Amino acid sequence: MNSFLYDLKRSFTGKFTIFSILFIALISWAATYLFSANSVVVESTTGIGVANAAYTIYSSLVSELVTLLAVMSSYFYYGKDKANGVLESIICRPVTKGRLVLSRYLANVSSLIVAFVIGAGIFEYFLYRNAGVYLTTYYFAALIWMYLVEIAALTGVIYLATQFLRTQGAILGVALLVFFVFGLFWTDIVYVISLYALHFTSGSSAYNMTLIIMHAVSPAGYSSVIGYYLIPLSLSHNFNPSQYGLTLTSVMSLGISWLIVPIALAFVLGRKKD
Amino acid sequence: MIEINELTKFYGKNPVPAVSNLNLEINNGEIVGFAGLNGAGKTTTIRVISGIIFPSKGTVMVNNHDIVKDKVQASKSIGWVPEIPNFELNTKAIPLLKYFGGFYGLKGPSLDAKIEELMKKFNIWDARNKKLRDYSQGMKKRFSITAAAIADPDNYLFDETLNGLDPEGVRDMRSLILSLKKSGKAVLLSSHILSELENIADRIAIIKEGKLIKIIERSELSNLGSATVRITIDNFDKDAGDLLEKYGTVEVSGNLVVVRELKVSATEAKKINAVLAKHGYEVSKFDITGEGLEDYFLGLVKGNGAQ
Repeated sequence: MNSFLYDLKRSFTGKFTIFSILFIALISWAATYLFSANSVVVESTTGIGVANAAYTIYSSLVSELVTLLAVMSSYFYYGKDKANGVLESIICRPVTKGRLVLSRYLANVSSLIVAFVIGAGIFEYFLYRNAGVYLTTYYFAALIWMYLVEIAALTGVIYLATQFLRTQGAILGVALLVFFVFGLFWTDIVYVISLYALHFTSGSSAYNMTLIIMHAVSPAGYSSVIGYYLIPLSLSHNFNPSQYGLTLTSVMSLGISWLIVPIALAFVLGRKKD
Repeated sequence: MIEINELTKFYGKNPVPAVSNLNLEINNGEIVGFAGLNGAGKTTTIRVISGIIFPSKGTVMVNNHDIVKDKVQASKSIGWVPEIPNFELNTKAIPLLKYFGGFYGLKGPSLDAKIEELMKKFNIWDARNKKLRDYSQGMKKRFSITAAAIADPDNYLFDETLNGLDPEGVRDMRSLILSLKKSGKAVLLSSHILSELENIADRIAIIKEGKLIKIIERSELSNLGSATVRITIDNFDKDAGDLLEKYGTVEVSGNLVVVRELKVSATEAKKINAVLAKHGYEVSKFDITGEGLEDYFLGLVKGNGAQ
């Protein structure tokens, strides 16, 4: 069997992936009811349109889930196997270490993407059934792109960290640290830095710029950056994305960078290190 | 064939190398025993040969392919059986063996047949529906050998493979290794069980603190180190002991007298029998032998100068 196909099958049939698919599907289904029940209120209070409101609610609901599942699946499907020596039974075969890193990574990312695409599909379907609205193709595509970038970035970061760490405990610790820092508390950290450390006024240009930069440098922050670009009103009423360098080109370039850089570094180190 | 040239391996920032300037060849149709105390560098050497870790210096050529520069080609010719088999435990043997087979371009019915043949040969076919998690240590080792043999490589590395095997397993391993030799494979067998190495190895490489200190040829095994005279004297008494002391250090156990650290040449030692007879002693057994691999090995690795 082709090694990548095996890794793919292993990722898709793993308990963690199956749990992720079911859990995301459940959250997505529940989200449609949450949105349907409050759609009128959401639209009138935010004034950003039904589709935008649906996108904002759904993406913020699942963004932490993306972080958690990406770091944990990286640990289960690569970090743990590398630390406990299981990968050695494969490395001794006619395969390079770099190819093995890439094969596991692609299988890992693919299975999570599929899980989130299924979730988004469920959200779309029930949103239409319950509220009579649906995400436009544009927003749906943005949602999938956002998932792809964040999952790839976070997975790449954990694969990269694994090249420096020797024990399962250390890798799991780093994975959880990434989740807590970039997934759970990053927004709070950003606020503390911009408001209290740098003394910027909320809504000021400097404040907005700090927010964008801080989210751009976080592997779990791409959803926020894409949100600022797509729905500027979600940040503030007079926010103009292009004023802060947020253009289609820059947003896409940032995404591509997060897609490539972490895993490229992990690949290079994985090839050279024991 | 495996050629190790000036192999040196440092771990991290440790200035002391785990293996230092090691040179060794394992020829086709040859079993090379690899002996050393714990931490001597045996496993490190085997892990470098199998491509698990990189050498710090030196090269390892497997069938003329460099294990670092031409890893894929070199690895096609290696079967590695580690001391502690470590596989994905939540899977069953057949899918994992198919996965391993895929790396060698094996697939389809021929791979299925090969898997069945090997699993039957190594006595794990009945456990094919069990997950590896449920295998005993011995079965995991047998699976490990099956996995190493999946592509019928030319070179085998056995790292303390005999550890943890029951007597039947040890016997099977011995006949497997001998059959590999017969079919022209190169075998590197690392083991603490020196008697096994003595039984089956063509050469024994002794490693100490990362350095190869001695290679013993099979022909030398019976005559290792300083000669020892073993005599069974039926009417042994103290005077016989006094008589023998001029030939070397005497150890007495009942009627058995062992004379070590001979002060005379081997030719002179052969005359001891006649001297004892002349003094009226009845000698029922007289034997001049080498030191034995174990004593010789310990003398070497503990620095007692037993060369």
